[in-house]
Amino acid sequence: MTNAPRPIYLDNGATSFPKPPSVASAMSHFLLEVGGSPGRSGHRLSQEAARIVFTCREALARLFGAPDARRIAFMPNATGALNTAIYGLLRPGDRVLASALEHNSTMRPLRDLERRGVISVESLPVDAGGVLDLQGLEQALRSRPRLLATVHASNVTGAIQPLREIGALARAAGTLLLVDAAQSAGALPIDVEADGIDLLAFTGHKALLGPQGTGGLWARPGVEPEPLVRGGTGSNSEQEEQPEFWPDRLESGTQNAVGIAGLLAGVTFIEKTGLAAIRSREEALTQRLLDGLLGARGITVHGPGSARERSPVVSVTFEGLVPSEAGFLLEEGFGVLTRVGLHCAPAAHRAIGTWPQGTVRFSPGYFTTAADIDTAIEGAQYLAAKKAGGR
Amino acid sequence: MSGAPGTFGIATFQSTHAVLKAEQLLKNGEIAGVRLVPVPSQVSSDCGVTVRFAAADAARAAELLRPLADDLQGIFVESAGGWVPFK
Repeated sequence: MTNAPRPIYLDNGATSFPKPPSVASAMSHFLLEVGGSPGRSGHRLSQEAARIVFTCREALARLFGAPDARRIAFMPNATGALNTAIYGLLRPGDRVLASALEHNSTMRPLRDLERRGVISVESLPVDAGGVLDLQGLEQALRSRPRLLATVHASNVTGAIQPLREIGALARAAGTLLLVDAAQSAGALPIDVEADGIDLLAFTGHKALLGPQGTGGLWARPGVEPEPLVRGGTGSNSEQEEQPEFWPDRLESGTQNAVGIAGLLAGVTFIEKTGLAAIRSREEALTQRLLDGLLGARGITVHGPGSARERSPVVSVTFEGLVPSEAGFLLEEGFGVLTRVGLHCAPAAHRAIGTWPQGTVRFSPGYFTTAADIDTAIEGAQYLAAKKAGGR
Repeated sequence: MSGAPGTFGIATFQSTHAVLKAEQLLKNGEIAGVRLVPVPSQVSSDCGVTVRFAAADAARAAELLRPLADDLQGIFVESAGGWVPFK
């Protein structure tokens, strides 16, 4: 037995926890009662597995306003989706714009292609609040680059990007818009049509409330990334060539049906609860956190001042206390679990001035309580005051 | 022409997703005898499934499956000689 405080999980930006209980029961049901390989055999357990995958794909299409669910291919995570979009679409000589907020799951594939002389990459500046500068974007789009990559919400500051305006500008320039919705899918409204998105990469294990190992890529008809992996799809079996049609084109090998069963339960929870209700609750929790941290002596809050402009993420730095130490003390003294450091997005930290030590990131979720937030505020204020008093 | 009473029709698709969508469309359209079955080897060597329905409803089924035209491989009905293309 230890007398460590009850864990207060404020790391939903890394992965959501807890999940709705229905997620675990759906996965347990799959393993105990279904177990078949989706789309591979004709028997009823394979059909049942396929039906779960089908139902999840349809539910995600509804959530994203995608007219045809077949344009969603499941992937192990948003990283797989971003890699497929980038390596699958870009060709020698292509020019790419990427916001300064991009995660390494976008930047590393882009930098790899750039280093090998295949493409050129231009980084787009963001303002002090961590929002893409639309005037700068408009200017950069004049040269009609092939692709524009942007996060929907920054994993470092939570800053929500003006997707609809970005989408309209990209559309006018004839530039494909790739949106990394890792932080926003399930937390913020997304409408691929109205937002002018051409490719949407999402993960299942964050705000969509599914298990790790799920995610996917949606692409507009006519935007046809080559698969990174080829193999069995359960379709066109007589041919040794990869099928061209979606989703099979991008879904080789046995799919993670047990994970997708969990993801379906997560998305069903979101549909039943209502995205607006989830957003309203998470925004209130984030505002409560901001209210407690903004203006506190020795604490700098990075990103937008209002929760309305953020996904449920608040990154802070402490005067005289490195993030790794602060995170450790928050857990030791208050049971508050955060993420510390660079959050895999080095350029974003340069943009907001927190390079190289990064930030302490608090990220509430739907199941976070106001009391959890108050404990986090108390802990942060205690650390800041102690540091200030100790000098 | 529609099939004789007691016989079936099938619709085959490229993707499993479309097969399941077809099942949903046909059930919602109250087509009789809708069920997923293995693809008959006479029609395709695929290892997947296809959607089966009462052959008497084949014309209405074909109408209901129009939204999936880009994925549809064929509609077949049972006859003495095996599966023959519908229409």
